[in-house]
Amino acid sequence: MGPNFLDNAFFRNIYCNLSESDDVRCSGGGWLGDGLLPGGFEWLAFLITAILMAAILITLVLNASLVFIWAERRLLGRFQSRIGPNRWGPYGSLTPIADAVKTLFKEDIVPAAADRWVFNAAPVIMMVPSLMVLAVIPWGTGTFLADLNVGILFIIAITSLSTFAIVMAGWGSQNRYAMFGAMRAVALLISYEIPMAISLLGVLMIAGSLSLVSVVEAQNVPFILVQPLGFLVFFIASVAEINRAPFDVAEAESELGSGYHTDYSGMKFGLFINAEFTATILSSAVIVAVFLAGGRGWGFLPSQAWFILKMVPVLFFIVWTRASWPRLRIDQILSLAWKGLIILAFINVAVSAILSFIWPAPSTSELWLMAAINFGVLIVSVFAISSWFGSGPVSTPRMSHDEALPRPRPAGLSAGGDS
Amino acid sequence: MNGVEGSSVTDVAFWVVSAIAIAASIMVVTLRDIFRAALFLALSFLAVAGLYILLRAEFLAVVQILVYVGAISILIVFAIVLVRDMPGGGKDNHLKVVAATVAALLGALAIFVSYNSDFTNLDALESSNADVAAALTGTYDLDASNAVGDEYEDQIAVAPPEGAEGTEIGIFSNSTGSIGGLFIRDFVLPFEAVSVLLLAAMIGALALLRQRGEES
Amino acid sequence: MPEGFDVKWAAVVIGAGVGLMAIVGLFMTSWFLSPKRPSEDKGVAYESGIRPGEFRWSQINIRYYIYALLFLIFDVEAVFLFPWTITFLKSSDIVFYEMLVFLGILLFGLAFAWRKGALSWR
Repeated sequence: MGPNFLDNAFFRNIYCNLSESDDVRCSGGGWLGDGLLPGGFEWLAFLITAILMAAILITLVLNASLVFIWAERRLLGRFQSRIGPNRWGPYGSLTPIADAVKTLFKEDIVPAAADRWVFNAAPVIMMVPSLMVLAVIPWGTGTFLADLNVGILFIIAITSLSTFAIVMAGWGSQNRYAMFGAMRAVALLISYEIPMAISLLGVLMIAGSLSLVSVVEAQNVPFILVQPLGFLVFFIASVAEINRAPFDVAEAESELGSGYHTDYSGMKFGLFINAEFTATILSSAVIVAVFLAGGRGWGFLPSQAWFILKMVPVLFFIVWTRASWPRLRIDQILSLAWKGLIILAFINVAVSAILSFIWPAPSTSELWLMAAINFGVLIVSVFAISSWFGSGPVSTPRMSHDEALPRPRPAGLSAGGDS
Repeated sequence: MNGVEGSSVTDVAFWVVSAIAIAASIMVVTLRDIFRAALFLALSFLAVAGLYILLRAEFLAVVQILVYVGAISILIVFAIVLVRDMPGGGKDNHLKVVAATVAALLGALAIFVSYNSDFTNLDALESSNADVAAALTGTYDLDASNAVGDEYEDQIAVAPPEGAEGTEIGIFSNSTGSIGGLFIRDFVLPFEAVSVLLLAAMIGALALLRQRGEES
Repeated sequence: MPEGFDVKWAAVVIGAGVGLMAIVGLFMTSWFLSPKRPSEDKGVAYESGIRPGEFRWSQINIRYYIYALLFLIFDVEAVFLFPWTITFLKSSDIVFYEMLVFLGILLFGLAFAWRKGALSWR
């Protein structure tokens, strides 16, 4: 048994060219014949193939984030009856490249009061977990670096490392805006991690495994239909986890400068921004793998193409969300997570458990039946929760208690402090 | 059995990860800057997760990252940020002798236990312990699985992976599922007790909140 | 050739390593290309033009800490739920009810926290 990305023809060829492996999948040899490396060097063949694959995936994702930046700006322009960027290249398509080049040429300023090590490490720690996630996503049949047995839990765990990057950025900057932004961001991230994890349980009951590859294989009916409530909660939590509007209080321009990366400049700032867009692309990839049947499709298109095709509407939907909703307040965001989404996620777990109990190994028709029941549950529970949310008096908390304004205090705002 | 290269690579990985864990722990206790100490604590948790992976306990590893790095370290960082003017470092508390004594005793205990444990003879564990070890590590010995009986077969002893030859290292299986199997069969009472413990923890947290509310 | 399990995690580590190299490469490029003209004013923390005063950490609201505590509790709970989800179908009926007890106790906790107002931002 060799590395499990050998299911992919491209990497099988590279690996089999290099190694003298007796793996069955290498029986036909590579393009150049079999075994360029002497026997006993299979590990080197593995290393080369894995590095190559990781490099290709990372390059693709980073470039995709540039394309996404362009597409988002154009789309937002359309949503807001503007033209959007249109100067560089056809339809402004070179704008993100111009931005990237500009970022490279900018001076890198470290504030004098900053904790240099923490300040410099934060953007790296922000980026690396995102790039680790892309190793476990099945981008198509056999197109993955690693099919972990705990794939889904690994994604949830490794993305929680980005909270550390945010705290480090806020603390390292020694800047009020950065610290307040960081605290808000961490509160938001940890609050939405719970519904995110619990909303996946329904999917796991049907798939019977935490591995993303088996989750894709289990989707004879896409789980967005079988688990609509789980999808809704997961989608909202994903948008919150990647810190995008309407959940972008962490970098609320009107209040906090730019949030936790206020004091960053040059390439470090670029990394923070890029990490956000990379995270957007990766979370849409996770949604496609878990809820939209991954690379499964029909016709002549390869599975990788299907995967990317399915990512497009998800990304469009995320941009649409950003264009449609105003930014929520931090108290609204937290109560949406704790009083809304967690309850919905638990309802989903209960209903899915009962349904899985009735049909332990659902056939395709039983999956459709589950889908119908779950849609009913979705409609009833969402209406119940939202009418309950809308029924109370509109509360306006004393925001002076949120974060005390720094000295000097503008006139007209009451003192907060640590009262 | 792993190839020669494979095992030496895992050996190197073990030494690197252990070195990181120990170095980070030393930094935690020696650094004056309490925030950096918390960061190194998280790093050492992360290195321990790496050790779990090398033990093939991937579920434990992921849980280590999720709970210790993602939640407990964040809680510690929050506590640091909330306490007034902590980053300057704390004062000496004149308890150095006591602290050194306790640390020396604990260290001696750890050395004593690890010296007296027979790590080469893990196979001889009685079957119930072997279950736990198997579930945690995700490996399962064919003999042990026969000894436990049929009811566990679907839980733990899954079919060997395609192309795997021999079962000297045991059948590789899904450690998450095995742990679930143990929760709901052998360790039901501790499992339910956990929920009560978590409830108690939550009530404790709320007590903290209420005190705060009464003050202001 | 190392076998399946080690290979998977080795691949994840290699992925992280390649990502790290890419980031270091970006930093190096930026370091070669960017100007370096430090000045005293550039080193001041940006607080919308106001000279930053003394920073006190206790300006952060205590409520964040309560949310972190609740998060820890529910995180541990979610961790316990994951193994259950993928095993309970292969087991006897009693397992299903065991889990209901587990969930019930924790949902009681959530309801209690809600009732005490821990979930609202005041």
